[in-house]
Amino acid sequence: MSEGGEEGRERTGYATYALVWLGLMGLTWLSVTVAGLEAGALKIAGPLVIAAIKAVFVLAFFMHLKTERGLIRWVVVIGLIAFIVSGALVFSDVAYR
Amino acid sequence: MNETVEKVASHRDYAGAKLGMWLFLLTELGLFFGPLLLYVMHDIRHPEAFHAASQSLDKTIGFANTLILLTSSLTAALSVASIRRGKTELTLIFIFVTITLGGIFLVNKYLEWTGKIAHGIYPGGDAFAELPPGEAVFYGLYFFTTGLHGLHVIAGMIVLAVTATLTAGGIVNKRDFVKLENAALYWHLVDIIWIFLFPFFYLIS
Amino acid sequence: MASEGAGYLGGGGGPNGLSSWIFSTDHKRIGILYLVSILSFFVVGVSLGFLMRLELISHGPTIMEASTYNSVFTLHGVVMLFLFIIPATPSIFGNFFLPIMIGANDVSFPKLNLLSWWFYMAGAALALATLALGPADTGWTFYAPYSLRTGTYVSLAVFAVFVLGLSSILTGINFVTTVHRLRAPGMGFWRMPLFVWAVYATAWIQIVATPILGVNLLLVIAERVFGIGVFDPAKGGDPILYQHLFWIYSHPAVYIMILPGMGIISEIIPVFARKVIFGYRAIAYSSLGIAGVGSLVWGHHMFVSGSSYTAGVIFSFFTFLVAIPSAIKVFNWVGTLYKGSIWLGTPFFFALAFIFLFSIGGLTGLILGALSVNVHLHDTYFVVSHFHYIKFGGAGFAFFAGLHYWLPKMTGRMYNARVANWSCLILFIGFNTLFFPMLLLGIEGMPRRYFDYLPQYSTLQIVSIVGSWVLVAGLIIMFANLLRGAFRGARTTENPWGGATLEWKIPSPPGRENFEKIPEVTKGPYDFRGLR
Repeated sequence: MSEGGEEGRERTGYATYALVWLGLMGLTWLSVTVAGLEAGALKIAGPLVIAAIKAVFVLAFFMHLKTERGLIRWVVVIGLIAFIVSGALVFSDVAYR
Repeated sequence: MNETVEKVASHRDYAGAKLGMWLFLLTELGLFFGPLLLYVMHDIRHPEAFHAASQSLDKTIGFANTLILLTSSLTAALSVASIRRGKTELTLIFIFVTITLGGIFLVNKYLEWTGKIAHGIYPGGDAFAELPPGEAVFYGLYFFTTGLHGLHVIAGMIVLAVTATLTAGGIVNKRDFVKLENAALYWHLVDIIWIFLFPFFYLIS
Repeated sequence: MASEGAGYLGGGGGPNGLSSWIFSTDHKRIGILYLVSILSFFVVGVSLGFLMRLELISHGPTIMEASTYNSVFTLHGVVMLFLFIIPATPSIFGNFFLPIMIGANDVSFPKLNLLSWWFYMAGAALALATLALGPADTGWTFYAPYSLRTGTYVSLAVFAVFVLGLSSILTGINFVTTVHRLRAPGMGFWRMPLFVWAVYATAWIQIVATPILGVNLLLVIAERVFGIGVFDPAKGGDPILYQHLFWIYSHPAVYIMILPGMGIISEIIPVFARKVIFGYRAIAYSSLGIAGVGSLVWGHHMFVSGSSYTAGVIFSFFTFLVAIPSAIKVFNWVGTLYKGSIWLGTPFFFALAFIFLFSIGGLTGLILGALSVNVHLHDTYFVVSHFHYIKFGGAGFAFFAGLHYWLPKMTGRMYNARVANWSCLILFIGFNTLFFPMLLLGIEGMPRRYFDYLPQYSTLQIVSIVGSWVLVAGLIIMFANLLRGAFRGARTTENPWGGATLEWKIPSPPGRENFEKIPEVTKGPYDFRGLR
């Protein structure tokens, strides 16, 4: 827990950011394409899965979660679990009403 | 004298400041979790109506806005990268580009909204009252959620503008840049929220 | 001018006027700000409750009309929940003692802490403004679709709660960060006092759950102003989804109220039993367990709302499950008393009252959690009685216990113990006389929130009303005694109870800086060796 350890922290290069950005652009294009397909389930699941992948990219690289301390990762994990579980519980009502 | 030095040191708790920011971002996610949950549940209840309403949204604007916001996220990340290398001027340029892209996003959003409003499709409008039940809910959620997101874009632009002033004044610098880093984190979060809003409202119904 | 021994309460050479308080970023002064403001609103809430009871003393309108009665129970709920019991323990004692107990000089974000108090005051002002304009008559739950239609100032009331939620979130962020970043050397997580554990778990609920209530309230405002239709059946919306979003926050909020109270009890019991607490880790883990599982039980408020049977079964199961961590705590407190060297001090009496009342509240909760029984008892006085046993008998008595335990530390002066003990007894009798008959009334079918009742309920209603008088008398005696103690009481020592946690190692009242030098922690919080 060294204070002011920011300067010593691993630095991401400009090129990495640019690559991630390119990937994000590509994924966006892909999600629009997938949504246009006539293949039922893929049409819905595809764009959502792609959105999740894009979010992971932004979190890991732009927001530096990759090099961040464990605790901050826990914040994200706790939030995800809370939202997914509460969503599932509401679903158990609406879908079986 | 010694005491003041100690106090200053304790206030420069980078990890603490960032932990606080991440906790705040978690609350922002919670804020958007609500309407998205409502969206999914109403989609289950009115699949046809949601499909019909979703078709009428302009995919091109949504797509363009996604690209714009992703690019602004890149420049926000680059602004942090360049302040760490001590390049103040470059940092300011990147912040400026980020804010500008945020502005373009909002202009697009404005055009999209006014297009709908011109047709009377807004809560309280004539065409809105005539809509079949599920479609009204779709547009209600659409205006509420994108509106809330738009407010966050504006907030993010203001925060970035303030940090730009701090950077220009040297308060944010190579050694002490947690304020800029937190502002960028906020901007990325606004981006992530849009990453999800886009497929939900424009693509999958 | 700073008088000798005034500590953080003194001016320290500077002016000690109002602005040195309301703009102070010292966590101790902010704690006192909360203490004064929260207790003021508590008086408002008690008065409203008292009037509600009094109204029922005879049939038909007695002191108010039916519509006024609706507004009074709404405001009673809003004030008591959002202005009193949710912020009371975390914001007063959490602010004052959490940093001291982990050996820090302040919280992580002192300015945010002050901002949080200002948000609290702003929210309170808005909530009370509705009182003058035209109070909402929806009940504190603001259920759609009625809340979308009624002509009263629902939007303002709802916005007030939104602002109060913001205040609560900021406090939560502050506490989590403080616990992670500012613990003194040697203060590992497993050496933290259980009060800190409880407030820490609470802070997580505040952070994760409050925003969902916030956006739900914004949706209600958007519905009322623009008519977006999400909760409006006429437009294809679904009012039951309002209830979901409401209870996703508001059930965990019950644990925001009770968990810090449990933390207080976990501090008091070992000190007055002169014995290390039984099952320290079990209590710490059960706090996290309650925070986790407690977030999955909200659907038990909706068994008869039209939610699905599947959801009912799942939520009923989790409701039974959450009883386990609560019971772990109760057993461990009682286990700590076993073979202890018990000292019957005032805080201890309140702690015992807490255990008794909380147990009744918890067990009646299990009755309500059973699907079939719930159909009969839903929205009856049984529910009213149950949650008052939890929130007042539990969280409220724990808060009073905390006042008697810590006020001498905060003010440096001791209250009259004999009067305090009597007030505890009167409160206990008054509380049970007020709320136990409600359990019976509920079983007999008396619905909650009704302005009038059938003749067969008269006897128990009258008993309950008399109970409210005894309770109010007890409150007056208790607060008078505490106030007198705070200003005129005898000077107390730095450790009147012989506690082993860090706040008892600094002067009463504490100095402007908590610690001249950040302490090095070498032993657990309930290690009484070397203390009297």
